[in-house]
Amino acid sequence: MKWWLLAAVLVTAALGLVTPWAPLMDLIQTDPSVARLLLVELRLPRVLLGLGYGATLGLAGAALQAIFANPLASPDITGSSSGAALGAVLGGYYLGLTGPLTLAGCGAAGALLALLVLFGLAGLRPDTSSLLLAGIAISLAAGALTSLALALAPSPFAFYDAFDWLMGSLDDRSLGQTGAALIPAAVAGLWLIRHSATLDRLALGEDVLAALGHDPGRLRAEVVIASAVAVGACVSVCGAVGFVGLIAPIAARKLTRGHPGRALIPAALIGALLLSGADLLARLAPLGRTIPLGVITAVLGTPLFLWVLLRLRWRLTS
Amino acid sequence: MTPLLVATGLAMSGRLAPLDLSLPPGTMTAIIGPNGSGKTSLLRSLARIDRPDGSVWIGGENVDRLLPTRRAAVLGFLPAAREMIWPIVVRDLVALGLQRPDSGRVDALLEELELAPLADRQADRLSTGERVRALLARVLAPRPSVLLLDEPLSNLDPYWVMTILQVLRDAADEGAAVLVTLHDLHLLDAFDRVLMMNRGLMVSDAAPDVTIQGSSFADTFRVEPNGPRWRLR
Repeated sequence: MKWWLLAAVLVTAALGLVTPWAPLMDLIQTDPSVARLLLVELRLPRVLLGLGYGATLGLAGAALQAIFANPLASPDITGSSSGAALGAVLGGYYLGLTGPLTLAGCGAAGALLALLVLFGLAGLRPDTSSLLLAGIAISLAAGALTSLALALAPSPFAFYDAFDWLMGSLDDRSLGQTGAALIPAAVAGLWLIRHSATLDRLALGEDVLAALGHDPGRLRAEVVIASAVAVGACVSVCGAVGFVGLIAPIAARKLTRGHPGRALIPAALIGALLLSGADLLARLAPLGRTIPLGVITAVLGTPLFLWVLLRLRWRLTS
Repeated sequence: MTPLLVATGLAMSGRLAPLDLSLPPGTMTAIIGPNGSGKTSLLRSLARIDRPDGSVWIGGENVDRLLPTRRAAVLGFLPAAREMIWPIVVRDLVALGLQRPDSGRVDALLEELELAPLADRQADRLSTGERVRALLARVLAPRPSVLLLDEPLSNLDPYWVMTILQVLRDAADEGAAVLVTLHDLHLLDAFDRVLMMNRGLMVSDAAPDVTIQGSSFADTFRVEPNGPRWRLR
């Protein structure tokens, strides 16, 4: 167990609760009950979502990479984040499913559909180029359909709302929304962790796994459904956040000597750390306004993604 | 001798016609046959991959009913595919075969297959021959009573072929039943028994010399012995 990683996550969470420091201190002196409200109603959901969503992205990314046998599979690269966003927009604006839990269900359905389309387009164990091409196609299609759905939405404020929502943000989420995102994500995440040892053995190939008495098809289905539920629920509340689900598992496998299954828990911790850290950065950035979280992870994640791609190419050509 | 493995009604539609098979302990058996004759299908159906028909009993236990923890101790399977995606080092790869950590067993296998100098090398960066040995060590790690190995001797130098044959013979001497698919017919002498496949049917089940002399050999392979080589029929 990587205790220092857990300690770093807890420190980031604590920092998230007390940042910014000055208004909190003022309130504690002038009106402690409002200070309590600020902590519980505003900052706690934000910190919990940062931790939980980050952990979800790390976990789902690690599990998807293990099941696709590809280090580039992740909720965003496979298009499941975009699918979840589309599902949530359709459910919220067209089906009137605005309750947090039903919205989470729509997100999960969208993410699941995206993953099924990915399997259909790229196969069960796609090589990197098929995975990326199919993922890009799904992301583009889901993004375009989301824009169309927003443009035609009955609500004239749909686009404005969606900017705050779908670009990835933890601002002003209620405790109810936090629960709707994190309770399904936690259940699905525990389900994924249950399969850690089996996902390690999957490194030996599906045939070996079958010879050992496991059912590779069922394992794949469980991982895909659990990942879709976890990611879909979080996206329906916080919008799509890129790169954390890609980078966290890659970093986690450095800690587990390359084992894809045992990387699940470290990937969750690293994901929680990355997303909480990015959210702290979003709040502390001296620009006088909040930057959407998804923009920060994208700006920080793109160079890392390119580095991973280059390394894959070097490895293939060397 | 009481058979260690008993298989009844094995079949895979289109690839393997129904057949029964039993393997006694302490023996090495080769499966031969031209490309596409069903060698691998027979091996996979014994390993219970792809939900084949029939049933396989090992030491009186129905393999389909065994939990993964027990199955590893009973049945070891080496697939023909050797690619490794994850950068797992050789020592860890071998340990993946074990249900609980046993560094003594891992070290012994690394020694036996001369992998000790490569113990900390990533398995995805090994040569083909090195990778076969590492993957074989993984299969051997839990001392399974039945070894089902797909082409463990292909693309290897003579030294490694002989080394692996010796390792397999040692496993057989300890009581395992070893079943191997084989392309290089010059190696048949190293086996106690040969199953010959053709078009999904088992056409012969006999000792190596009897198999080669038999009439079905030439029909199956479309070559016949010519001194130490073969000639086309």
